Amino acid sequence: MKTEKKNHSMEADDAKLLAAYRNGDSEALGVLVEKYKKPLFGFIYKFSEGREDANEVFQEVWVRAIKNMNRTRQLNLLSWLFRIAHNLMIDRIRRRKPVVSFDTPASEGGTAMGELLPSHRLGPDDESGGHALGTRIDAAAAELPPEQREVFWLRMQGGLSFKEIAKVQKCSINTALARMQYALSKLRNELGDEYRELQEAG
Amino acid sequence: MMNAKKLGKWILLEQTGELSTRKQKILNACPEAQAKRDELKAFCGAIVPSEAEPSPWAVTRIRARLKTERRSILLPARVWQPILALAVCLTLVVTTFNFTPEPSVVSVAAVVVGEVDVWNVQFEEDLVELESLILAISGDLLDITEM
Repeated sequence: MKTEKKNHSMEADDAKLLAAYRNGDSEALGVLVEKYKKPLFGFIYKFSEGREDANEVFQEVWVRAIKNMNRTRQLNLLSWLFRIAHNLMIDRIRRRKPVVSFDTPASEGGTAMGELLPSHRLGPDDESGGHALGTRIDAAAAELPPEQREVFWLRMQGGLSFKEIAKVQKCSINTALARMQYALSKLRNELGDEYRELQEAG
Repeated sequence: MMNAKKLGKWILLEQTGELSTRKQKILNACPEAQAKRDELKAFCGAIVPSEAEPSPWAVTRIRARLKTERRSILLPARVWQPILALAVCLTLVVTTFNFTPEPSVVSVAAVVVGEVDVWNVQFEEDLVELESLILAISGDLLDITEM
């Protein structure tokens, strides 16, 4: 994964495209969105409630990025986009935050809320898919604490460096590294035999 | 021998190209480094990055939203324009009033003197007319007495 060097060399191109967009060339925005859609949308998709929700967040990220671009001089557009996505997702999580615990039954003798929500764990149909291990990793990553999950996907899906991840999460590089290590360790334990098989095959 | 935590961090930094040359040399000399590198590489290889893509209309929607938001920023300005114009007019009126010189003592005196002069001329004319009338009457009286 040598994407970091590539990202930094993109800065001049991005600045030119942004300047072109500001000067009325609406196609320039299309080029920028196209350029970063995969890592950004893929990352947002991991944290959203389906494609429609991810699309909304994706659009909001771009609108905010373009609107505030004049105020802040960003050196790296992709990490700036991820930072906006991170802030948006924090807002959404706060808004969604339930008042009652997932384990508390809604009524006496009723079902706990956690049991009513769709589980991140896989069903037998999912496990028989072509990317079985990849899907298992996805499901196991969904069980990680939010900060660790975010570091994991910022690195694996977004291709961000730890310096950039630290900026997005407003923490030190050491904290970002520690979160990544915890995430990897938990995934290793969660995957168990499959992880060991993977290592033996590799 | 490097501890496992540090080794793990350095391997992660090496992967992103963020490890300094000095640390890289230390890492290269570490016997456990290669095994850890291979482990991480195999794990990363198993991760399937999401192939999900945004809606094909995403760019169009973003453009439309940006256009709408720009318009909504400009709209209040359009509303404010007549108010601003009115304010400018009022300011001009007020300043014009302020700049009109208030009647000073000298000008009041000049006006008074002027009025006195006008009054004097009129008075003199009246007096002359009265005098001539008296003279005329007196002349007539003389004529009567002479008769």
